[in-house]
Amino acid sequence: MAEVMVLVVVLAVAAATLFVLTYNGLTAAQTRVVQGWSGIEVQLKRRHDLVPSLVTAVRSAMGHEDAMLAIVTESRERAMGALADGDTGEIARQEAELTGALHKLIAYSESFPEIKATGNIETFQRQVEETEDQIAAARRLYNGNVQDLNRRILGIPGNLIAPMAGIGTARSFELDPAEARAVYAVPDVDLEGARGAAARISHGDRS
Amino acid sequence: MSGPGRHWDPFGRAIAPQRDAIKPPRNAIAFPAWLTPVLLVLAIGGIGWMIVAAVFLGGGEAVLVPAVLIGAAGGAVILVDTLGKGQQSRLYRYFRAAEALGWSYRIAPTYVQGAPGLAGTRKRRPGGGGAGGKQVPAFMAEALEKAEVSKREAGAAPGTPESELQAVYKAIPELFAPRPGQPVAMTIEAEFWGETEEAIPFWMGVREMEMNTTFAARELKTDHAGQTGDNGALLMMVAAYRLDRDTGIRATLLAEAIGDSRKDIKTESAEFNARYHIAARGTGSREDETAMAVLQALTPATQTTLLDLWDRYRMQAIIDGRVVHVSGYERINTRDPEILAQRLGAAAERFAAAATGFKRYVE
Repeated sequence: MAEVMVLVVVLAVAAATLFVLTYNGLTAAQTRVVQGWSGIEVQLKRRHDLVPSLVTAVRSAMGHEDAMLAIVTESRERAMGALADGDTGEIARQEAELTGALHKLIAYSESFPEIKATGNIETFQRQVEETEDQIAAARRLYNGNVQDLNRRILGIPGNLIAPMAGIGTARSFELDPAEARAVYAVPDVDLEGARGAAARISHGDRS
Repeated sequence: MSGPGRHWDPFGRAIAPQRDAIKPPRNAIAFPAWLTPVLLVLAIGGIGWMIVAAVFLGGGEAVLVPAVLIGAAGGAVILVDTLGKGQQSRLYRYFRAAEALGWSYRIAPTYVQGAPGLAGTRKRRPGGGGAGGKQVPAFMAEALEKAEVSKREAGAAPGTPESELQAVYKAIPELFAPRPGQPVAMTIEAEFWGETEEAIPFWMGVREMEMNTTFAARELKTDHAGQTGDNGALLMMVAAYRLDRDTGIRATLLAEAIGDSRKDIKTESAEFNARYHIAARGTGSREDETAMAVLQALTPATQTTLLDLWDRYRMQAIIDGRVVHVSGYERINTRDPEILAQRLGAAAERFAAAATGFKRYVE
């Protein structure tokens, strides 16, 4: 009888230890997903903050309003709204639109050396490009964290403990293939008097 | 330190542009590539035999045979390298690489007191064994002396003074010691100073070692260039370059030993934390300020770049104020001297470019 009691106690301690370790692992993984998302938010906000400066610089260099500037500004407003709402799918869509609009604006300014050489456009452009690198990197790190959490939840004993702890799987932050193609496609810029520059862009030579 | 007509150097040395001229080796005996690995296996087997003899056979005379075997195999390894002019061939390959890339090049003394691993020994010299340095057996000292003669015959200039190299090992010991992610201790055999394509000045220390993958995992039998072979070279590299800002910290990003250590600075990435152990000390007194400075340097793009460089080079790094030091290695799965010479230069150039790849993200 004593042996059975010892066995029961040993098994109970082992089960409790396993529960605690798994639970701690799951909560740590969940925390990292939240931290990873914060990392994306920081970079997205940084880009949102850069857009007005870029738009102002291009506008002052052009000396007149342009529909493209309005599109960029509106895209930024929608992206900021989506970020405030927190729906990852909508954020991805709106950020993709903003990326597309920014790429077109950059291609546009590159087509006119006199605009590009004015003010701080080149500096802002470099900052936008670097922020996009950081966004892509933050997204990769976040998605890695999501995979780690989901792997823990779907495996044994995570699949038993996660529902008890109220921890669910997380969604990756990715563009759907069609959106990704639209964002990273070379912008089609039709500019009067800038055929040479447009040809350069269509050949991917932006130097 | 840099200045007019001087290279930038991470250790504050005044380095004028120079290139130690090395002549191609002559009258080298071509030993089969499998000989050195076989001798090393014999030496390792001898160590096992000696342990068994000492523990189970009571030591004494039973230990004598394996001891002789270890000595003979070890001596033969050095002899093969000396007669095959292995060191001279390596020095010539470094020279060719530096010449092709337009880099400065200086040979470094191989045996330096304070160096990591077996190279941390000092040769027996007439009149004493050196200031507290370990002594090596007479037969090894003789072989080493021959190697020095061979180096002088090769037309090698005096190279880096021993005291300078000791300072290098002392400044970044973490990148030279064997540890998870770095299978063997690294010692510098040649130093390069140059600029990347993006005009970033850098310093690099390299060491080429013979490699045999007969008993290794299948993926190690083919290198990154698609070259397949059991015999080849392991090119170990350590590089440094200057940042445009002072980070105010000394952060080490080394391979995690087992899983994710609890006692290190954590980033937001599970993958990065699993790969790198981050430790840091700052100029400020507060730990949270130091951690904040580390995380400021480890932006998402820095982390993803380092993850990619880990996969490619097993890259480990130290961010020390204004300087980034990195170490890594590349396999070249061929012993063909000509291909090896070409690949070595290309590998060093790629490593320098890769090492500086995350500079702008840290800044």
